[in-house]
Amino acid sequence: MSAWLDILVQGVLLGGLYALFAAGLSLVFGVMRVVNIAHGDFIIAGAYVALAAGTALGGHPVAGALVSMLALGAAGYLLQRLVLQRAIGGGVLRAVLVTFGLSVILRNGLLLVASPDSRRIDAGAIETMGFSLGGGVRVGVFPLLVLALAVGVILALQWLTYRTAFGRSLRAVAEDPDTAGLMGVDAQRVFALAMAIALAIAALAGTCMGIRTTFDPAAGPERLLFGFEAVIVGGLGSLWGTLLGGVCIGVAQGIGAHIDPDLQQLAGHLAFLAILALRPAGLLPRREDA
Amino acid sequence: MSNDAMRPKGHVRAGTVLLLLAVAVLASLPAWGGRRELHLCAEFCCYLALAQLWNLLAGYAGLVSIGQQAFVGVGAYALFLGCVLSPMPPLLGLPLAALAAALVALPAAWLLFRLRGAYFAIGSWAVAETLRLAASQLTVLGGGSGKSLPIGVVHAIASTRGVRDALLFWLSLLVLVGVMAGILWLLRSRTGLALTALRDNPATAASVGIPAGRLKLAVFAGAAAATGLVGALLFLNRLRVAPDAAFDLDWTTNAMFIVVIGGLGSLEGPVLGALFFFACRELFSQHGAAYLVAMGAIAITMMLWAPAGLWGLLRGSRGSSLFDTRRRP
Amino acid sequence: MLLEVQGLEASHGDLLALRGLDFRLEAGRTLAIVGANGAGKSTLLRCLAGAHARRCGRIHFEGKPLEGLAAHRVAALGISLVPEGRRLFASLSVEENLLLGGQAGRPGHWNLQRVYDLFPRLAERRAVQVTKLSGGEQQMVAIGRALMANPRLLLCDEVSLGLAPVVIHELYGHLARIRAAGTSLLLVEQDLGRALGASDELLCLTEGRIVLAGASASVSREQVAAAYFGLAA
Repeated sequence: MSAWLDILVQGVLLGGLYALFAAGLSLVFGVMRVVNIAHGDFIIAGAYVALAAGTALGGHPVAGALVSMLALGAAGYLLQRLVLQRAIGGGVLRAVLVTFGLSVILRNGLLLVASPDSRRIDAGAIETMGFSLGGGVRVGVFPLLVLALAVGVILALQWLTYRTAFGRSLRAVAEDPDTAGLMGVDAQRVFALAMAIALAIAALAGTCMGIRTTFDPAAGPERLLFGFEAVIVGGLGSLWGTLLGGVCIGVAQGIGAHIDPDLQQLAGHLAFLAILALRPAGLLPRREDA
Repeated sequence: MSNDAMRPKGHVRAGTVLLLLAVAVLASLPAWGGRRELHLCAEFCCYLALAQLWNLLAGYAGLVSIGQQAFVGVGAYALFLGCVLSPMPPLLGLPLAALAAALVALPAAWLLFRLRGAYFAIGSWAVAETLRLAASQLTVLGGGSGKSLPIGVVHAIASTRGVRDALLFWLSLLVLVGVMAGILWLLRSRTGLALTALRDNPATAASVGIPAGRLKLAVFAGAAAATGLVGALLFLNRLRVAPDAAFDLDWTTNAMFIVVIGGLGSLEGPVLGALFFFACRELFSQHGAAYLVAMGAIAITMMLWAPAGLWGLLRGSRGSSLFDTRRRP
Repeated sequence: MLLEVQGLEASHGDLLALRGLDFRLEAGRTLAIVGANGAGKSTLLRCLAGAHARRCGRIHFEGKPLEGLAAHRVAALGISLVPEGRRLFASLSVEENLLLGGQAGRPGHWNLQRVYDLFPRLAERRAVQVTKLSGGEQQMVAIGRALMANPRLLLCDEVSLGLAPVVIHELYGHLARIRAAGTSLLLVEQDLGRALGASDELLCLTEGRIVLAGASASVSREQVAAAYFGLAA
C-alpha cells in the first residue's frame, strides 16, 4: 500500500516540473496560436545558461536561475520580433517548420558550445533534504519547492491575464489582432512580451530540471513531449488543467518506472494516448479556441 | 472551353523526356558504378521518396506530421520480424512492411485526427516515440540494441554481394518512381481535386459533399504504407535494425529540410531539394553540429522569405512545371 | 483642416477598390459617405484607420501624413474606427471591451464613467460577456470602445446595420450628442435619409470613385439617388 502512495506522491511532485515545462507552451499557444516546437530546447538552453551563470557567480543556483530567466526573456522578445512574427498567421505549416528549424539550430548550437556530456546544476544541501510523511513515503524538499513554483507561476499567469491591462491586451490580441490594433494595441509588441514571459518560464523550468536531474544538449525534444502531453491531457486553454495534466503524466511515469525502470517514458506516452482516445478534450477542458 | 488548356505545354514534354533520361541513366548505374555509388544512390532514392510523401501529406493534404519516422520504423521492423521469425523470402518482407505500416496508420489516425494543426504534428511525434520505446521491448529483435539480419537471410536476397547491391538499388529506384507516379496520378484524379479543395477550405469542401475524414484517412494510410516500404528498403540495405535508428526523428527532419529547401507543394521541388541536401551532406557533414545549424538556418530562411523553395526561385513568375499536376477529367 | 485626402487608391485583392479619391473634412464637421455595396466605403474607412494598405495617394490628418503608419499608431494620433460588424472581443466583458478602447491613452472628454453616462444600459451590464448583448447594445459597446480613445475623428462603418428602426433612432440620438461634444465624424451609412439628416456634408461613392459631393442641406435625395445608381454623368 505504501508503495502505491509513494508512487502517487512522487508522481504529483514530478507533475509540478512537467507543469512548469508546459506553462510557457500553453501561454504561447493561447496568445499566438503557435506551438513552439523549440520550447523543449529552450528549457535545456535555460538549464545551460543557469549552470554557466550560477558557476560564474560563485555557485548560487538562484542567481543562475534569475540570469537565465532574464537572458531567455530577452532572447524571446527579440526572436519573436525578428523571426517568429513572420511565421504567425501564415498557417500551421509555416509555424511548425520555422519552430522546428529553430529546434534543430538550438540543439546543435548547444552541442557546439557545450559538450555532449550530461551535466547537472549543483544546488547544495537542498537537493537531498526531505521529510517523511509516514508509511515509508518521503517527500523531497526540492521537488515540493518545484511544485510550489509551478502553482505560483500558474497563479501569476492567471492574475496577469485576467486582472491587468496587459492581460486584457493579451486576450484581445489572441482573439483578433487586427481589431486590437485599431484600438491602439501594438499587437507585435504584445506577442513579443508574451514570448518573453514564456521563455523566462522555460528558463525557470530548465533550472529546476537541471537541479533535479541530469541534462544534455539533445534532451530538448523529450521535454517538449512531456509538456505537450501535460497540456493535452489537462485540456487546451486551461492552466490549472495543465497542472493536472502534468501530475497525470508524472504519476503514469511513476507507475511505469515501478514496474520496470525502462518503461517510465513509455507509460507516460501510453497515458497520453489513452486520454486522447477516451477524453480527447482533456480533463478540464475550456472553450475550444483552436 | 477548348482542349488547348489540357494539352501538355512544351516544357512539360521536355521535362518528361528529361525525366525518362535521368531514370534510364540511373537504372544503368550497376553497370558502371561501384558499391559506394550504388549505396549512395539507393539512399538518395529513399530519402527523396520520403520527402515526396511528406510533401503529399503536408503540402497537399494539410497534414503536417513530425512522426513519419513511426512508419519507417514499423516497416523496417515488420520486414526484420518476418525474416527472422519465418523462412519467407526476404523481398516478400517489402509488401509486408507496407501492409504493417498501413495497419498501424489506422489506429494512429483515429487518435491523431482528434488533434488540430501543430498539435497534430507533435501528437504524431508522440506516437512515433511510443512505437520506438515499444520496439525497444522486443527481445526477439535484440531489444534496445537491435539486431543484424541473419546470414542465411542475407544470402537469400541474392547470390552475390554485387547482385544484392544492384537489386536493392533497382528496388529503391522503382519505389521512388512508383511513389512519384502515384502522387502524380493522385493529384490529377478527382481525389486530387478533392484534396486541394479540402486543403484550401475544409468547411466549404465538406458542404459540397467531400468526405473529409475518409479522404484524409486514405491519404494518411497510403502515405504510411509507402513510407513503411521505403523504411524496409532502407534497413534491408543496412542489414541491421535498431529502435533508435529505425524510429529516428532524423527521417522526418531530413524529409522536411528537403521539401522546404526544394519547394513545398510541387513535385519538382523535393527533387532539387534532395540534390542540394546530398551535395551538402557529401561536402560538409564532417562538420557535424555546425552543418546542422546551417541547414536549420537555411530552412527557416527559405520558409520565411522564399516559401516556394529553390524550385520556386528557379521557375520565377512564369509558373512553368516539369510535371503537369492539373486535373485530367 | 482636420483631414485631407488626395488621390487615394487602394486595392482589395486584385480589384482596385478606391480609384483616386479627393476630399477634405474640417474639424467639428460630420461627413456622410453613401454608396452601393462594394463601392469602396469600408475600404476607405479602413485605409484612413491604417488597417488597409494604400496603393498610392496621400492622407493628412491635422497636417501630419499618415502614410505607412500601423493602425495602432493612427489610433494614438486620434482616429478611431467603429468597424463594420462591430468586431467586439467575445472573450472580454463589456467593461473590458471599453477599457481596451482606452489603451491608446489619449487624454480627453471621454472616460469609462462618461461612456456609461452616454449609454446607461451598458452600465447595468458592465460585467456581462458581449456575446450575450442585443444587437443595439453591442453597437453601443463598439461606439463606446472607439470613444474611449478620445478620438478627434470618429469613423463609423454602417452602425445601423441589422438593427431595428427604434434602436437606430436611439443610436443616432447618441451620435448627435457625440457631435455636440466636438468630435468630428465620418459616417458610412446605407440609409440615405439618416445620412442626410445626421451630417454636414455628403459624399457618394460608386465603384471607388466620388460621383457626388456637397453640403447635406443643399443636396436633394433625387440627386443622390441618381449618383448612387450611376445615372449622373
